[in-house]
Amino acid sequence: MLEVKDLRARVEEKEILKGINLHVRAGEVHAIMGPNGSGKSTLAGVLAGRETYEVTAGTVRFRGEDLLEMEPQVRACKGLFMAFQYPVEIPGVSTINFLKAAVNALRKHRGEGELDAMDFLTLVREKLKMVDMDESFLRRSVNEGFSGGEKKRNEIFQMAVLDPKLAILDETDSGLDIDALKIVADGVNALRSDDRSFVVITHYQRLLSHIVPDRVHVLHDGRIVRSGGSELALELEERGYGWLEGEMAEQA
Amino acid sequence: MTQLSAALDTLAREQTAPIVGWLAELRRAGRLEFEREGLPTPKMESWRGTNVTPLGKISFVAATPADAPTHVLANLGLGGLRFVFSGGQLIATEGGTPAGLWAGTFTDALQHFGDRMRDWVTGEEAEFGAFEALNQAFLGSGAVIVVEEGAVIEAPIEIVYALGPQASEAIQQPRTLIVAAANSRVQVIETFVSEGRTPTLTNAVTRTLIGENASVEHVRLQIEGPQAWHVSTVVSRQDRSSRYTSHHINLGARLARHNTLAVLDGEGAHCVLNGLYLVSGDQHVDNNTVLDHAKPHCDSRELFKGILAGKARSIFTGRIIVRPDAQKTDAKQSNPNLLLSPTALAQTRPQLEIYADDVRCTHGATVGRMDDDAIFYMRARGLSETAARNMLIHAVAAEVLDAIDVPRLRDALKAEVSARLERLGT
Repeated sequence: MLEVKDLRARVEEKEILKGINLHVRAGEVHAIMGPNGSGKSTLAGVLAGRETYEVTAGTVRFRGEDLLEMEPQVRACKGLFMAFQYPVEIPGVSTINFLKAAVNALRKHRGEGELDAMDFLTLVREKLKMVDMDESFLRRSVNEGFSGGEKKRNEIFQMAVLDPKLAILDETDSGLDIDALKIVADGVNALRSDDRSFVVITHYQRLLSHIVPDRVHVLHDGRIVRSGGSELALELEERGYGWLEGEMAEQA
Repeated sequence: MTQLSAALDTLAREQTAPIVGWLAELRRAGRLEFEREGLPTPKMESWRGTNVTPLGKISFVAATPADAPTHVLANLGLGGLRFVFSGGQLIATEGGTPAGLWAGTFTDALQHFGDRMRDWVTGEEAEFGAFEALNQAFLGSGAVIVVEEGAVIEAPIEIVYALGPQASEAIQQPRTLIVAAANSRVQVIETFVSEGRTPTLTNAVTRTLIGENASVEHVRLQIEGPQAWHVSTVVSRQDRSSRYTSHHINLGARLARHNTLAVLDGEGAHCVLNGLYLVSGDQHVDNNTVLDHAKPHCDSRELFKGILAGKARSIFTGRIIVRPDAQKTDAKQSNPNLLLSPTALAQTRPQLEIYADDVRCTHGATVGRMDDDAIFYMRARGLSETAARNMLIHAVAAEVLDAIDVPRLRDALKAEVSARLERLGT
C-alpha cells in the first residue's frame, strides 16, 4: 500500500526528516508516535503533498506508483486521505457542496459519472450517523465556527464519504475530550478493512487504546528509532519520551 | 467653458420643454448648481482616488434609442411589469399593472400626480453633489413607481436602462422614483446595460421613499460596457418601522461611482445595504455610502464585498452618521475584498460619526488574497486548484447574491459571475 524508503525532507534550510523507512501493507494500521518536533507533521505534510516541504532524497510508493510525483489532488483521487491536524475553515462554502465536489472529482478520476443528488444524500446521511452528527451540519460552511471536536469529526466524516485506500490521521486526537475521541475512534474502527490502511500519527497513547494498531513506530529527530507491536505504545505512555534522548546518546 | 458645459447647453436647448413651471425652475437650479460646483476632482476628499475630470473634455450628445438589449440579465422574464428604456426613451412595456400600483414614465407621472411629484423628486439631503445637480438639470426621463397604501406587489418590477451602440459619445440621465406608501411592499430591479464601443455616460439618480411599515427591496445592477462611465446617486428615505433592502451589483463600466445615501428617518426602521463588485482589467469602482441614522431604534446592516482582478481598483467609503437623537442605533458595516492579482488595489475607508451615546456600531474591512491553506485543504480532498479557487471566489460572491429575494435573478447573476470569472481564467 505505502512504501517509504530513506525519505528526507526539509523546510527552507532545516532538515526535518532524516531518512524515514516505513512499509504499510493493505489492511494494516500503523501508529507513528513521537515527541513535539520529531517530524510527525512534516511526514504527514510530505505524504499529502504540502508544498512547504522539500523532499531531498528517498522514495514513496503508494499502491505501486510514485507518490511524490503526484499533485495533492491526484493523491486524493488515487485513494489517499489526510485528516488534518488543523482543519481549515472555508467561509461561504457549505459542507455538502464541498463534499459533493470532492466525491465527483474522485469519481471523474475513476472515469465514473457524477453521483445523482439522491444517491449522494443517501450516502452522506449514512456516514453522518457514523460520526454522530446532525444533518443541519451539512448546510454550514466547512468548519466555520465548528468546535475543535466538530472539526475532527468532520474529518472522519469526510474520510467515510470519500472511502480512501489509505488514510493518514495527523494528530486527530489532540484537543479532543474522551467522548469526541471515542466517536473518532469508532469511526476509524468501522472503516477498518482488509483493503484499507491507516497511518495514525499521534502524540499520545490514549487514542491507541481505542484504535489498536498493528505496528507502532517511534519517531525521533526525523528518524524512526523503534518499531514494535501495539504494546510499544503502552511502554511509551508509561515511560514518556524522555528515555529516547538517553538511548540515542548511548547509540551514538 | 469646458467642452462638457458647451455640450450641456446644446442638450438643454434640444430638450423637450417642461409642462410645469416648477420643473423648469428645478432644471435651472440644477444647472446652476452643477456649474458652480464643477466636475469633482480627485483632490476633493470624497472623490479621492476617482478621476472623472476627463468627462469635462467630452462633447456629449443625447443618447439615441436602439433595439431592446439582448443581455440575459436584461431579459429575466420575471412575469411582472417591465419597462425597457433605450437611450433615455421608453421603447417597451411588458406585463400588467397590478391593483395598488401606478407605474409609468416621468412625463406620465407629472400629468398624473402633478405637484406631488415635486416633493418626491427633490429632497433636503445635504449630499446634493455635482452629478445629482446635473441629473436635475435634465430632469424628465425615467420611470416612476408608486405603490398605494397597503398594496403588496407580488412580482418584481423591472426597469431596464439600456444604451445601444452610439454614433458618438452619448449621455443619458434617467431618474427613477420609487414611492412606497405605508404598509406596502414592492421589489424593484434597475438594470443598466450598454452595448457598443463608443464611450457613454450614464448619470442616474434613484430616489426611494418608504412609508411607515412599508417594505422595499431594491436591486441595482450595473453591467454596462467596457467604455462606459457610470455615476449613480441612490437615495432612500425611510419612515417609521419600514424596511429597505438594497443590492448594489457592479460588474461593468470602465469607471463607476455610486453615491448611496440611506436616511433612517423614522423610529424602528431597518436598512440593509448589500453590495458586490467584481472588476478586472482597468476597471474602477467607487462606492461612496452614507448611512444616516436620524431617529432612535433603527438597525442598519451594510455589507459590500469586492472581488478584484487584473489592474482593477476599488474604493469603498462607508460613512455612518448617528444623530444626537438616534439612541439605540445598531449599525454594522463590513467591506471584505478579495484580490485575485498582485496588481489589483482595493481601498476601504470606514467613517463613523457618532453623536449619540447609547449605540452599537461596528465596522470591519479586509483586503486579502486567496487563502492558500484553504486551497490546499480542498486539493487534498481531490479538487483541482482551479476548482478550489473558483469555489472560494464564488463563496465570496454568494454571500451577497444569496440575499437577493428574487430566485431567477439570483441564479442568473451567479451564472453571470461564473462566466466573468471564467473569462478571467481564474
